[in-house]
Amino acid sequence: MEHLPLDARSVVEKLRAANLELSGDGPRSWVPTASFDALLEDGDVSPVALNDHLAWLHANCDIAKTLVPPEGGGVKTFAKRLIYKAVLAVLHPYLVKVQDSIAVTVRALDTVAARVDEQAAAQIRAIVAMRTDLVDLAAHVEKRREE
Amino acid sequence: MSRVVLVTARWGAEHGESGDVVRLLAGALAVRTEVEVVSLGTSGLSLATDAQVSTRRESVFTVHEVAGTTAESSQEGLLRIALAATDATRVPEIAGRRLVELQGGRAPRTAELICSLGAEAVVLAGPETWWLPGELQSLQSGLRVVSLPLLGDDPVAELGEFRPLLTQVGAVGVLSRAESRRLAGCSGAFGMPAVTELPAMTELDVAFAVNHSAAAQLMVGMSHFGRFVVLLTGFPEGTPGAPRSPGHDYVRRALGPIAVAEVGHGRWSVSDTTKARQVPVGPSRPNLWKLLSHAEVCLDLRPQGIVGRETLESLLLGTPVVVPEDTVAAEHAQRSNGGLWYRDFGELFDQARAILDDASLRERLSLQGRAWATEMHGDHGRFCEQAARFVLG
Repeated sequence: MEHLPLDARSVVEKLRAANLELSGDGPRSWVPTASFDALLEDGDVSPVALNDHLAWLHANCDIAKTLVPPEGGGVKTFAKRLIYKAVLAVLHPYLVKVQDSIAVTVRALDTVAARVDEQAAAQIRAIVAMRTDLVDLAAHVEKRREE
Repeated sequence: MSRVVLVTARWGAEHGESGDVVRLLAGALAVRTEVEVVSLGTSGLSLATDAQVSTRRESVFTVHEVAGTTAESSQEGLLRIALAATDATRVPEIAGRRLVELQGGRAPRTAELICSLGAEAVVLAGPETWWLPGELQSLQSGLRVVSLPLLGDDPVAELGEFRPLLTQVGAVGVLSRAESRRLAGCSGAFGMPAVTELPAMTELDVAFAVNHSAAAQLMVGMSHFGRFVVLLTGFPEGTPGAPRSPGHDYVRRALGPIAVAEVGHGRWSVSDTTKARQVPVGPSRPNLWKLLSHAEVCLDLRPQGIVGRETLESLLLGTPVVVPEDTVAAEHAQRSNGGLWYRDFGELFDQARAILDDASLRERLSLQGRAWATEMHGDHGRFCEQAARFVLG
């Protein structure tokens, strides 16, 4: 087998270093809240995590994909590529910061959405518990009256 | 044939890795010795009462069940001091629970029972048995007593208040380097340096049986899906599941065009971009092997146990793993060079993608992981020898 032995630690460190280089200084531990309390699925109000605008932001927050060099041949494309390189050389730190800011904003929104959904689920749960207690109390009163 | 007594809490009733390890150790010892099991606390099936010891034959073992709770009431003061003196931010809830487990009523006849069995050596498995060495020595001096703390990477191992209990045994068996480090780093009471040293620590490489023939069959319903990854969020039943999960659908979207087979508590499901279905089989270990052996990579989101059993089984089956950092499972991944480890979900996806996108990396991790796991955790003869050496000296 080629390239054996492989050191797993060096692979982990290489991946971590590559991510630091690519993603600026934004936090990386975040993922969108894809799952939320099952109670909310049947609730009257739909969970914030399912909001269409938030979903669009999740899908489109990575603007790095649009920063590809112009493709194709010819003098025009060559000139465009030169301009692209010149612009990128000047604006790259700014664009990285913009990307980070967008990503962090989406993460913050997601955190808030998750917190709101948690609160909503807790409220529903409290109402259900109170209703159950009331039903028990009613049954108890009925029983005592019959006795 | 020499006789060994193995003392543990709730024999046969414990879910998870502690129960598995105790049974495997008992099995390994039974190859060369006669094994008597003393089970502290009732398993729910026992007929034992305070007044009697219930004895029954179970396979190759004789099991004596001692009723009552597992620890001695005289430990209460010690435990209270331990809890009061320890910084609450340093000891997590599980440590508190362990301490509370140690507390309880007396099991007064346990030491007498153990001595009456005429054993050459006694194995004390689990922290619930730590109160016994002193009592055993006072009844029968010269009896070889060894301890298997079963603490894994649990910070409770560092509580200096328990060191005196462990110093009374002849040897301490550890199941991972993390456990060994925790016990070695154990400080004295109230944060003072430890006065007494622990006895020699013996590293035990528990061997797990994996049925490669059974695992080679593709699981029912999986033929409709192509390449897939296994996402472990809850296994086996009765053990803690993943406290946080990014969710099945999100994992599938994040990993691209590959199916995700999720093994969760009470529900195994598989989906790709076009179809999703529940896996129509019981949540058994042979079924897990069938999934693992055909998966590209195993992503583990669960809190890890004391031996990282599913990680070892995945490595034995030649499937690379991605496991949480600073756990026993991550230690296996590092030592075997058969998997990667993550700090957060972002890293989990990066590492899974790296393994999925690079066939050469996947193959190398697979080969190295399988070779290491087969040598260290697939050889039952070696484990039986280690166990006998640890217990009998």
